[in-house]
Amino acid sequence: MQTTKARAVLSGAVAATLFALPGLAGAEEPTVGAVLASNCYICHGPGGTSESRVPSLTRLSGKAIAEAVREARDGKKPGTIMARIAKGYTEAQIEAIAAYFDQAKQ
Amino acid sequence: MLTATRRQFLRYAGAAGATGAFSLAGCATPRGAGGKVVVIGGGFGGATAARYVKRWSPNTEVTLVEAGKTYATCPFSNYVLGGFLTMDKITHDYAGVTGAGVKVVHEAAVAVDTAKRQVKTASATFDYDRLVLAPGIDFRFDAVPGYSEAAAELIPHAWKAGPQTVLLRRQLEAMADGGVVVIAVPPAPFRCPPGPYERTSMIAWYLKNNKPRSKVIVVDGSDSFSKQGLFLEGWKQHYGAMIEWVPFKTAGKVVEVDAKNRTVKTDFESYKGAVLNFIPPQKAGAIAHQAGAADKSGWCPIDFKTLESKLVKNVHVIGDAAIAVGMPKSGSAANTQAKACALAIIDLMSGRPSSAEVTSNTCYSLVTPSHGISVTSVHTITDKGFTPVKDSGGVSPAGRDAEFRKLEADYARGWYAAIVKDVWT
Repeated sequence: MQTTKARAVLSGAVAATLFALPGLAGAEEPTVGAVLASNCYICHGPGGTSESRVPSLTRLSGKAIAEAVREARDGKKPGTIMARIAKGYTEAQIEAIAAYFDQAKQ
Repeated sequence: MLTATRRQFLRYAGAAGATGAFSLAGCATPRGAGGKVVVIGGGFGGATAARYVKRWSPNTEVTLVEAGKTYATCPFSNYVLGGFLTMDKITHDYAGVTGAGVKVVHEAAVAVDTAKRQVKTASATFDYDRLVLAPGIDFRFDAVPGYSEAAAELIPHAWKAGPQTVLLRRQLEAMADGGVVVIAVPPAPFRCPPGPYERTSMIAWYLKNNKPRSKVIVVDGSDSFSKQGLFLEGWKQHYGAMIEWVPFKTAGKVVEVDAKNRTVKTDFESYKGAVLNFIPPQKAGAIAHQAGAADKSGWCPIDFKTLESKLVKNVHVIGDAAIAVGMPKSGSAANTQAKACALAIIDLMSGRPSSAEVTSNTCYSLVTPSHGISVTSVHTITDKGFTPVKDSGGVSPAGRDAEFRKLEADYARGWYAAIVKDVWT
C-alpha cells in the first residue's frame, strides 16, 4: 500500500518533470533519419515546427515532405533555396528524413 | 535543484523503460554509456552540441561552461547597425539549454588539463570523458601596427555582437551627413565571409535614409568575396555611388592603423573615415590555444569524421575555431557541425566509430530590409573535409525580381527565428 502510494507520488513527479523539461521529453534515438532531419531545423524550426513563412514540416506527412523535396530538386515547383539544398541529398536520405517525420508524429 | 530533479527523472525513466513509461518521453534505449561531456562556449556551436548530446543520449551528463548569462548573435547584428532592430531582439538567454537537461555554468573556462581531462573555472573543476571546444574567435590585436584592444574602443570592430555593436551604431548616429564610413576587411579566413558586405549594405541603408550625402568605402583584404555578384547587383540597384568597394589589388595590404584619426593605411593608399569599422584578423578563441588544440595558423585542425582535435585527444573542436575544410565560419555551419559532433561523441563513448555523415550551411544576407540573398551547401563528411555534394548548393539566382528578393528576406527572418530556437530558447 505504502509502495503504491510512493509510486503514485513519484509518477506524478515524473509527469510534472516531463512537462517542465520539454527538452528531455524530446529525447530520442539518433537514428539516421533523426540526425539528417536535425539539419532541416535551422530553417524549418526545431522538430520541423516553423513559425515563419518557411513551411512547417510537422503539418505534412512524410510522403508529402519527400514529394516536395523531389519537386524542388527536379525544378518542378518554383522556389528559392530548397532546390539548391534538395540536390544535396540522396533518395535514401530523403526517404529516411520522411520516415523520421512520420514516426515523430506518432 | 534542477540537477537533482533531472537525475531522479532519468533514474526512474531508466528503470521504467520496460513498462513503456520511457517511450512516453519519446526515448528508446539510452546511448552514450552515461559518460560526462563538457562543452566550452555557448554560441551557435557549443549550445547546440550540449543540447543534442543530451537529446540523443539522455543518460550522459552534459555541462556547458559559458561566462555570459546571455548571448548576442553576430547574425542579425548588422540590422542593429542598419537601425531597424534592437539589441534585445538578438540577445538570448540559456533557458532552453537548461530546460533540455544541460547543466549550464556561467563562469569562464580558465584552463583545460587534457591529461587529467578536466576543465577549470575560477571556482570549480569539471571532469570530462569528452570535451567540446566551441570558443568562437578572438582577435589578433597585435597583427597590425597601431591596432590594439584600446584602439577597438575608438574604431570598433563589432565582430563580436554586444557593446561593440552598440558603439559602432552610436558612431554612425553621431556622424554628420556627408561623412565617410570606412570598413576594413581582413584577409580570409574570418568569421562570417559575407558579413562585411551585408554590413556595408546595412550601413548604406541607414545612410541613404538618414544621411544621404554620406558614403561607404570598403577596403578589402581580398580580391573577391562571398555572394559578390548578388551584392554588387543589389548595391547598384539600391545605393549607386554611395558604396565604393576597393579590392586588395587596388588598396594593397593594411600596414598601419591610426585609431585617433580613424585612418587605415595600406601599401598604396590612406583611407580616413568619419567612422572607421576596422575588422581585425582573427584566430580561434583563447581557451583553444591554452588547451593546445590550435596550430601555427591560429585555428584548430580536426579529424573531420569525429570533429576531434588532431592535436589533443578526447577534445573536439567545432564552429569558427575549427579548420573545417569545405565549410565557412558561420552560425549554421557551427550548428550542423555541433550535431555531427554530438553524434560522433555518443558513438565513440559507446565504443563505435562515428556515424556522422552530413553537415550543411545556410546563410542569408540582407541588401535592404526587403531584399534578401542566400548561399547554401550540403556536405558529405570525408577524410578530406566537409566535401560539398556535387551540383548542389550555391547562391541565389541573379537578376530576379523584387518579389523573389522579398521572399528571401522573409526566409532570412524565418531562419533566424528557427535557429535561435534550436540553439538557445
